[in-house]
Amino acid sequence: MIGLMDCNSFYASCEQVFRPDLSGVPVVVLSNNDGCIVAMNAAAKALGIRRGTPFFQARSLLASSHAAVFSSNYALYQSMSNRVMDVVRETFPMVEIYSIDEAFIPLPYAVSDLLSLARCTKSRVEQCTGIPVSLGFGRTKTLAKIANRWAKKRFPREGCFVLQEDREEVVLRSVPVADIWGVGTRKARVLIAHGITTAWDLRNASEYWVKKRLSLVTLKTLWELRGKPSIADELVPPPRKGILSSQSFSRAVTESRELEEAVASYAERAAAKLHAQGSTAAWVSVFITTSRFAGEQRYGAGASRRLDPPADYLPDITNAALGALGEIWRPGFRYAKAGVFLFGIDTSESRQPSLFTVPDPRKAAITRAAGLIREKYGHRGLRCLHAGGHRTWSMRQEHLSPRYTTSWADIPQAR
Amino acid sequence: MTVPLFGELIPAGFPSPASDYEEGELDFNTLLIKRRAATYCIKVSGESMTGAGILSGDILVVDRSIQAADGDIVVAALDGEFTVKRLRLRRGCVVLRPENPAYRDIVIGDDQDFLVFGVVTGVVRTLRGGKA
Repeated sequence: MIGLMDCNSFYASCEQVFRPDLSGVPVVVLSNNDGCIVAMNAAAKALGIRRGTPFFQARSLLASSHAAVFSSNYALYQSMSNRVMDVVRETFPMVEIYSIDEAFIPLPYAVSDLLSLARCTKSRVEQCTGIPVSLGFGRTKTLAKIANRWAKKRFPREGCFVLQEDREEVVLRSVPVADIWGVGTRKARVLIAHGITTAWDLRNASEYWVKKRLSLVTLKTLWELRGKPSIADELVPPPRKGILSSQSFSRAVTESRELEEAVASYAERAAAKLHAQGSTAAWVSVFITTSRFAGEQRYGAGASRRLDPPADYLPDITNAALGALGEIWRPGFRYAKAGVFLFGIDTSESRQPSLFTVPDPRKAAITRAAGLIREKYGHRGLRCLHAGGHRTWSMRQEHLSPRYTTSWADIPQAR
Repeated sequence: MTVPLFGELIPAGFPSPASDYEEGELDFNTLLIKRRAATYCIKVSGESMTGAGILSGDILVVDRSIQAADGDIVVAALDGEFTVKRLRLRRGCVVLRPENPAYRDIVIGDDQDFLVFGVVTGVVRTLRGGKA
């Protein structure tokens, strides 16, 4: 058996833990730059608001229903996610974190009363973190996903469901193919056109036909529906092949200095991720683009610079990024977005020493010292000069909540 | 390579006779936090608990994993606000008792929005030069 635990309306739930005044109030959370609605609680769903709705379209409805609106507070969500996963781990030591609000729970041993263990875990997580969760168990990951949805839909109060083999037919017959994990809308259309409308139909479809007409991925889904685990366990996430840091600006950017500031700070963020996984990059690529809307003059370009030898040294990465930016920047455009992409990623163990260049030991020492300074004074404690301007272009977050669990200045108050 | 900071690598002089007995220094986290995942920090505002040694501006260490019992100091959400009081459970009646004669007991009525957020397990106060 394998389980899937996920948090209900995770971002909205995080906001509500520290705002008891919001109980029963519609709550929505916005994407980067406050663009679209990415999460909402049950009360907001009841207003008919859908995920992905642009904020400006829902604005008047939200205001008239006295809804609470939040910008994405990733520091808070990550902290609450870590807490949820820690509590789950107390009962199920092998937790395979799948996303910020989901985790697979492999059970290599038989558990006699899985349902009560699941219920117990759910109430423990809710007590310790205030975040409501659902748990579903099945013979494979795909079946666990289905069991989890079933728990949410059929047993919303209990929030737990164990899909035993002898119940699979009943459940799979009522799951539309489009709702199966890994079956997108395009694949679902093909399947439905061939009379395969439910998960039970796909389970009984011809392996040959599925592989030929769709893909190996869909064949794996079919095997999973038959109870044969075919999607690998990934307790350790594979090292990234490339690292992207990019963002839309809160307003159009025209000055090259501001663009440099943005690119330098994205380079900083990408380099931090590179460093955290102990890798080096061989290439730094930069792209800039104007807005796709509003009938403005369009321009978009990218350029790459090689790092030789491959490096994780921030000043090298920043210089390469700014050099690449210099090649593609053109005056007279209103830029909407920029990004830095690191690729040619090499993990420490497999890294080849270069034959012709000796690494500068001072760079490793500076990187280490910079890491220590940041640990003590936070991410903004030490920056490249290029990244340290006024950042008037940076993400719009007009509805940001306090970082209740990660900043002393932001902790909640009690009278 | 990391360089050990103590003992054997000192080129001249004697190795410390205590280096085999080196232990980690005292860490306040181990004193104050039992279950990290369930521990939250909340700042006190107001004088209602001065009798229990809890002053305005103190930081409460709140553990949500503990089931609140009669006599515990708790942080509760009452009508949409957090409050810190002593919890009294008597004859099916929930009372939030301040520890200051200038304040009155709060008897929780059926129509009130009430929830215990967590049990207060510690109080942190910094004096001169403290960060918080």
